[in-house]
Amino acid sequence: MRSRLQSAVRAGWATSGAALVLAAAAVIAVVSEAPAGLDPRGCSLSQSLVPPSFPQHIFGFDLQGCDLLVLTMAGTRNSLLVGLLATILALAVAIPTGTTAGFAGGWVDGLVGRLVDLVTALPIILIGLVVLSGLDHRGVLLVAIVMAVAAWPIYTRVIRAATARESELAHVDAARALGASRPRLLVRHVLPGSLGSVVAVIPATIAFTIGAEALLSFLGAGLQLPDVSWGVLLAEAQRYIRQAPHLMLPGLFLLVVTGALVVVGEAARVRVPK
Amino acid sequence: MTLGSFVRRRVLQALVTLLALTLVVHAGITLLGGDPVRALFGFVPPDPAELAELRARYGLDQPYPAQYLAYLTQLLQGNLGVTISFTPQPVTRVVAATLPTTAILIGVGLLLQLTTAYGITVVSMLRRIRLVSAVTWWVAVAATAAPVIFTAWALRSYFTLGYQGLDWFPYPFDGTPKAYVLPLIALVAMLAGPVVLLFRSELLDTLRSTFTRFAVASGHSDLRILSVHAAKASAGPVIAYLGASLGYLLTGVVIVETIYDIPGVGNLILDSVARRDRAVVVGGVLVISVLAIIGGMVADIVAAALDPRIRLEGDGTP
Repeated sequence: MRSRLQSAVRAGWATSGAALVLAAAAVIAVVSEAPAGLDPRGCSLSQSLVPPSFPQHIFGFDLQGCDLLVLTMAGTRNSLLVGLLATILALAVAIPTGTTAGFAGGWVDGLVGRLVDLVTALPIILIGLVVLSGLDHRGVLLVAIVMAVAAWPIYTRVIRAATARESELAHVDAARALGASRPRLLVRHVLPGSLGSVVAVIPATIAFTIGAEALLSFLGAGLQLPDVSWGVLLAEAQRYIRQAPHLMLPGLFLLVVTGALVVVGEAARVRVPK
Repeated sequence: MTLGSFVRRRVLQALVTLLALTLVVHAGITLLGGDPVRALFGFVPPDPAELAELRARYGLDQPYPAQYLAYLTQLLQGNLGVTISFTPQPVTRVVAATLPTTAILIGVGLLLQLTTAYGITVVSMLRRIRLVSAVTWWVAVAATAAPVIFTAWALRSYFTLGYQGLDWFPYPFDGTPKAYVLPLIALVAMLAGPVVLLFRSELLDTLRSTFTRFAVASGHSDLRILSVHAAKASAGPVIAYLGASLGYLLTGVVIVETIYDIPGVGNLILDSVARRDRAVVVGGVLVISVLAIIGGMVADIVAAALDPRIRLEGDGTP
């Protein structure tokens, strides 16, 4: 029988392509200098809103006469950073709460369950918008915290269900019968099985976070210039879209990256046992 | 557990969540949202006496716990307070005026989402044609990935009278049925994508089960097995997802409302955020969240009615 690792590596072309796209986006995020496109010396007002030309400036220019492709690549860093930071923060909350609830059961489970229900019912993005719009400076970390608050119930739900299911397996009973302590049972025998299910949810949730950042910025409550992100660029585009439809092009980056994340997430969901 | 006692327990849970919800929304927005009375004056430096009088009129000079208790007492009588403005109006009336439009978007959106997702999934799986299956999958992935703000805005730019846009649909929103078309397309695209992906993978699992083989052996047609037998057996996780994603749907409605200038609850909330009218923001967010909690409860009860295992093992949610 093929090992799980081998079958995980044997990905279809869609998944491989999506993984390549994500790798490319990561490289762009690391390599591109965030303020490069906004450098006043790099832009020229005489080129304000000049439409795309092939092959030098395939995205055209924005209102300030900056190359839109350079800006979009610069925005990649902040957009991905928000997604990544939010995921790390959300997991930092979800792994302890989810495993405790699933492993301990009883009133702890009930409490975590109600909390998850509560936050799921709240339109967090809206509340985040209310809170953020009252602040003068909104950085990447602040926006990521709002996204993390929105994302942790998703992870907690999944981890809790997986932990509860895993705890009832025979090998956990066997370890318990051999006298393993509760922490050891949890860390050595339950967690390795249960964390797999959360991996499958991560890509789609990152996609959601990146989209939500774009949304907040679009409505003027997310990142703001001089911080660039795809959402910030789309927010700028909104005003001049009639004169210059090419300003919508940063959305292409957004669509391709979130699309790739969803594809990878689908592949992971099929592979990871429920 | 019988279905009756499951329903009772679930309703009780929803009530507890509702109470906690009022505290979180009210406290969150009151403590973090800035000073609404100062905002009324804009750039004009206010007269301190007038400022203090207005603050006292809205009870803002009280310590926070007293403010919340006063709000809760009013809320239990169905009163959401008055708007914070120079011409105060009951928030209940302001929100109620915008609710029908939003209700149409939510109701029709949900209905269209379900029928579209169900139809597309069943049809795409009926004959195992690789091309049809692949195209459906890609469209569903694209719909899932595209942020609703982008879809809604792109549709508005290209199909209403804007720059080079086609004059097919009215914009700004004029309340005619035609004006609902683009917002609903954007909503349905956002919602149906994930459902198609989930329903599809659940159906694939079900089709491998022995019970499908039994249905085949009993001589049912492919269409009937897929659209009735297997669909019913695969519905549980899909309904659970729908219940859990209601907050997402409602956020989507708010966004679509702002993009298309639809005078609904979402637009009201965002306008009030800009005006720092905290009373309307709290009221609007509460109404939206209550809808999500009730919807989640209904979804759980439907799932339990369809699948006895859920009500026997507890409510299926953490």
